[in-house]
Amino acid sequence: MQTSEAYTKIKSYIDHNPAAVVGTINADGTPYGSAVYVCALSGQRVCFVTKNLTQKYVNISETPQVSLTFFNEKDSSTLQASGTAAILNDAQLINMVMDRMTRIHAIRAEWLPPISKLRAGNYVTICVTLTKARLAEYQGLDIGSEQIFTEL
Amino acid sequence: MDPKYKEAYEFLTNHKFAVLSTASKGAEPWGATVYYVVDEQLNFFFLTHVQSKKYQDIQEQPNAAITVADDNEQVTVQASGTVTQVPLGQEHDHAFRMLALVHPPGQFDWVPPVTKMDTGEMLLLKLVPDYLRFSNFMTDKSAIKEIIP
Repeated sequence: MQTSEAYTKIKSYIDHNPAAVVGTINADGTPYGSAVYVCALSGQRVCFVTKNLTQKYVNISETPQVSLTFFNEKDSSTLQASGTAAILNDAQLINMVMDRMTRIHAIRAEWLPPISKLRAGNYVTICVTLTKARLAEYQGLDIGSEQIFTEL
Repeated sequence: MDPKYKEAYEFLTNHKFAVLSTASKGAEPWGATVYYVVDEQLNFFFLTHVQSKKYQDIQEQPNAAITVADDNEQVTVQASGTVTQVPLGQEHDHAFRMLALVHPPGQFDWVPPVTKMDTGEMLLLKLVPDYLRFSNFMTDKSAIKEIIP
C-alpha cells in the first residue's frame, strides 16, 4: 500500500476514533500517559488541544517525541503512532479542534471537552507530524494474517 | 481494601482495556493497548509477547504509565509505576485466570489480539503504581483525585 493510501486509511480511522492516549516523556526519562481528542490533518499531521500548565505540555516542551495510541474495543482495532510534536498558538486551529470534538459528542447537548474543565493555564494546540503509524485490525482475521496491519 | 481506592477500583474492574505507555532507553515514547485486570491494591496485570516493542522498552526502562479512559463516562485513570514479570505461583495463576475471563460483552468465543500475533513466548507482567490519579470530567467542575501516593 502506498504512503498516501495508507495515510488516507489511518486518517479515516482517527476521524472515527478520535479519543487517544498521548505518551510523553517526563524529565527523568519515564513515560507519562494522558487522554486527548485528536484531529487528523493533511500531510501526515494530527493535532490536539491542551493547556500550557498540563504535564503533557511541560513534557512536550522539553522532549517533543510523542506516541499516540487509538483504539476501538468493539472491533478489536488499534492504531499505534509516534512522531514529533510542535506547539502552536493558533486560535483558529484551537476553535476547529474544539468544534469538531463538540460535534462528535453533539448527541449530549451539555457536553464540553474535558480540557475546558481543567484549570491548567491557556489553550494551546499541539501538532504532531507522524513518523510511524501502524493500524491493526484483528477482527475476523487469523494469526499472522498480512491483512491485519496497515503501516505508514 | 483502602477506602480511598474504592472508586478507582470499581471503575477499573468495570473496564478492561488500557493503553500502556513505555519509553526506550533513548527516551522514545511508545503506546500499546493491553487487556488488564487489577487487584485490590490497584496493581495492574497484563500479558505481552517477549518480542513486542513494549516489552523491549520495559527491559530498558521498567517504569511505565497506564491510562484507562472512558469517553462516555468522561472518566480517566492515569497510573505509573514499575513493571515486573510475575513469577509462577498463586498470584500468577489467579491473574492469568482473571485475564482469561476478559472478553467484550456477548463475545464469548473472543480471543485477545495478543494471541493473534505469532511473536513468541507470552509473559504475565505486573505494574505496581507509585502514582494513580482518578479524574471525572462529567461534573460541571472536574474532580481530580490523587489516589496514590
